[in-house]
Amino acid sequence: MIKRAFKLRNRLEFNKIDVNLMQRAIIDLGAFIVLDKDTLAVQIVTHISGRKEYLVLIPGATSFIIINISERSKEVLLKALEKVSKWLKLNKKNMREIKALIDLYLFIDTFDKGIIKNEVKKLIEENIDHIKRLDPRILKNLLGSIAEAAVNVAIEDIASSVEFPQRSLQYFNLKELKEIFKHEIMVTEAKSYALRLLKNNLRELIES
Amino acid sequence: MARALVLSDLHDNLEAFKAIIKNIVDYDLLILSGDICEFKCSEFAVWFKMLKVPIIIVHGNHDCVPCFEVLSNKVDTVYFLRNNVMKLRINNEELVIGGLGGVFSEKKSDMHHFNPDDILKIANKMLREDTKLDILITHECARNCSDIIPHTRKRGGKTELYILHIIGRPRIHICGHMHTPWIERRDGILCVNPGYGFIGLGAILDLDKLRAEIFQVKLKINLLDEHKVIYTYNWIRNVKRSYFRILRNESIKLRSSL
Repeated sequence: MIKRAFKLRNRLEFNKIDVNLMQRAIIDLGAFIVLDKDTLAVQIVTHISGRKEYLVLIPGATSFIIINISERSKEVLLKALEKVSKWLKLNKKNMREIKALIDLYLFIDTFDKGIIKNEVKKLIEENIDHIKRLDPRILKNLLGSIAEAAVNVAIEDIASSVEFPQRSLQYFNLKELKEIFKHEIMVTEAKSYALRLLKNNLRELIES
Repeated sequence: MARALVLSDLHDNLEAFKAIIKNIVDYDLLILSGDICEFKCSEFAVWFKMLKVPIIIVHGNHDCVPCFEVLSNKVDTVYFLRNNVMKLRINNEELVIGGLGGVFSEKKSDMHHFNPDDILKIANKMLREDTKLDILITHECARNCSDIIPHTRKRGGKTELYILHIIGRPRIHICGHMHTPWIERRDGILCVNPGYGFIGLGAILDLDKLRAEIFQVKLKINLLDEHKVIYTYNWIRNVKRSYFRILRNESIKLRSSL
């Protein structure tokens, strides 16, 4: 599970939060409220097999949410959020957005690095003959950019072929979802993998 | 005991910088939190090279960003933190330092501005790597964290930066931009704004005891004349094409001089 932060389109504004009142409402669910008095950020926490999982809502002109949950804690945390929503003054739009982001978060988490690496490998293998035709001196200087381009194309291909969760699709349009997906997928590792692959394939050419 | 000299808002005043580093000598690290040099970076670079301590730069909205990139590539002791996190060893102790340069804008993301998406990038990087920061350096201040506006004395910081406090849990947050020197504690974070370096202000930070102190070095120059120079330069910023060309030329000049 990777913790992720998202920007919220709908502003959150918390004033005079009564933590005790909220705590009493969700204690039966096994969830807890933690309030950061300085930032007014509200954390809703639960424990799954000894692991702490949570949502953090950060109010402000631009509001954010930090998500660290699993399928197992999702239900508890969403129920807890519903219960405290009246004190946090979360309206329907806020709730829909948060649910859409949670679904997207869990969806992104199913993409392991293997899927991107396979796509990158396929792309490089398809294009290696064209790449080999370049002047080795130019090629040496282009390797980093080719690796980066291969990863970008791979992510673009994956984002175009996947089926995003329905609830996320109802809230975000496809272009927005692709953007978030590209932002969130881990690219650094895929880039070094692409570079390694290129160097292996072109070793003789570059070293000559 | 590690000590850092913290400066910001020098606004091209090389005389002020020289006076400060001649007067303040006992420190292990120099932190520059933005608005350092815009059109005189090659002159500043000569002095940066002479200093034997690591120099960490986070840019402001009046800085030659291409020059800082050249400096960090060419001078071993200079580290330019542009929306990133780095580790630095000082006196056998590893410091984790995060930096976000420029000033906040709802939409703009360019050399001198960051927007909510830029904040998210560094926030998610820290979440992925489970980073806890020792020092967070930004040019823009967070709300209620040494963000005093001169004259009005109101708070002018941005709540958008709170997410970096929540995720990074920094021990120290250094900012600039406001020109008012201010030190305060907020939710366990030591907030330090060294103030207007242009008039010789700065701060000394004790990284072990988590204490900071503001100082002001007396300058022998006519500040009013220097101000006029800055405002003469400032009109250039309104002509974007000329402005960016001048910055680019400044970085080319710097590259050839190093």
